[in-house]
Amino acid sequence: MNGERDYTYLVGRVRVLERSLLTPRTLDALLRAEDLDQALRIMAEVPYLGEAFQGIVPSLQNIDKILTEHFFGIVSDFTKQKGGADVAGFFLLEFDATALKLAVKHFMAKKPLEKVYPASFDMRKIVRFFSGEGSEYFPEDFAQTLREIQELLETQPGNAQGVEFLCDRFFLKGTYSLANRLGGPLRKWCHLYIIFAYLRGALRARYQERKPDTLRLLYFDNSLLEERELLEFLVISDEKIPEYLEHLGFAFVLPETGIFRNDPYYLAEIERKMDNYLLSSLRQYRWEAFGPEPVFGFLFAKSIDVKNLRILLKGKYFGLEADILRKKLRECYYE
Amino acid sequence: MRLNVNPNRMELMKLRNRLAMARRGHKLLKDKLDALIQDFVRIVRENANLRREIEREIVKAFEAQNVASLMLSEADKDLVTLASQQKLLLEVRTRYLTGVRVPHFEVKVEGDPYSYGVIRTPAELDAAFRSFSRVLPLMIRLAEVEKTIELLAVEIEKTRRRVNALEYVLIPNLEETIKYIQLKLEELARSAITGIMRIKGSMR
Repeated sequence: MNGERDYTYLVGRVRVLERSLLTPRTLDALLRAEDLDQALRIMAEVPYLGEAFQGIVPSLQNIDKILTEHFFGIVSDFTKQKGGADVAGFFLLEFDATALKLAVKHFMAKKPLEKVYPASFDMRKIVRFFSGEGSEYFPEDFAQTLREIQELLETQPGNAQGVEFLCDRFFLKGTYSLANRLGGPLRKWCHLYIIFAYLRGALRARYQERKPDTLRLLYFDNSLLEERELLEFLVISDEKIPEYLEHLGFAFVLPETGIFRNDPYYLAEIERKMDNYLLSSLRQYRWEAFGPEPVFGFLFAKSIDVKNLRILLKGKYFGLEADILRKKLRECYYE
Repeated sequence: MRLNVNPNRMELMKLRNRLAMARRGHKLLKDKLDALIQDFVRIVRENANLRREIEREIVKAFEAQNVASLMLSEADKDLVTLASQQKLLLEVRTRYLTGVRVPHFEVKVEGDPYSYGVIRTPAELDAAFRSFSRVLPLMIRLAEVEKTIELLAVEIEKTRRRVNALEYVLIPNLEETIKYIQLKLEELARSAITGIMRIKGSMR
């Protein structure tokens, strides 16, 4: 009961904050904007988020800073609320995985950490750990990942992608255990996310002509997808991929039925379909009054909004045509 | 313009030698100029083809990069560019092309350009990195070709000036001076004959 009450409070907050989500109409208005200045004026009218866009110097760094801080602010805020830690945990984990990668890569490139990146931990601790400057405390799963990265760097010092794969595995493992804690429809959603992540990872690794050993770094034991099923993507021919996806039950992610092309633009289209599918599977729980689903749905919708706004505002900055931007946009939470 | 020399047989001999030498030099330089121009034209054509190829590839690369960067945050951009797995070894040598010392770059690319994760980066990034890694060796080749063109152009200019100096200044001057000395010597010979004849006449 307590949990439900906590979620009711969070759902109440979500109902207010939902006004800051983008609608198809806002997206259309942004697409029609002639330049970045006009797009920023449209953004300034969006509730809650608009204030941050008022009177800013229109640069890519500023836009990105506003969007990142806005989303990280909401995620941190929700994490602090009762019952919010698990719901917002997935999104915090995304930030943490990125921060972990950045810290390790700074260490690899021997560059000092000058910027501050959003994360739930102090990134300098990671750099200190790899530099061997004293023993730092980390939670067990985090420490395990750090040890794996250390081992990898000892055997293959320049393997930057391997490091990223290990960090992504940490993120996917975290999502897997979060799924078990959340239960219900969100459990299924997290599982779907993990499978999609593996599918897109395997298809990208295929394009990059990766060996199975590299892709193996991404894999952790789970009940959703076996390792050999994942590695199969690297060895079968292009013609067999639709059939194989059909066999796994995910042929619907292909933009054209029964056709697969080993081309990044085609893969990008698959990624877009996956994102839309993930959003639509959360949309049905939007009006639930109890439970974590509407809260999680709002946060995921917010992350998609941030992605869409990046596409639109950067697209306007680069002067890209509306048609190109439209093809990249993800669906809105509001229909 | 006539050279300022004493009109005597010794000078005439020297000048004739110089003229023969100048003509030989002129022919050689003209041959060198022709060879340089042939190389120059060939390399300019190669440069034009290379430029076209690079422009085509680089447009593709920048388009893919622009589209990929639409979805990347600043942190993601740092992540993608921080540590590279690809090593580019550039060996700088020189070679001789029709007597002109030109640079020669040898590029060796080790590893591949994909040093980022595949789960949370857009797929267009692969296209951008693949295109850029294809373009880079071509751009280094272009730098080599453009420097070669520059050096050949300087050498052609220098050689043409020498050929022109020989053809329009030195050789005509020598010819004029030789002609002058020849006339002078003939005149001296005639005046000597006249003198002898006059002496001979007065002796009778």
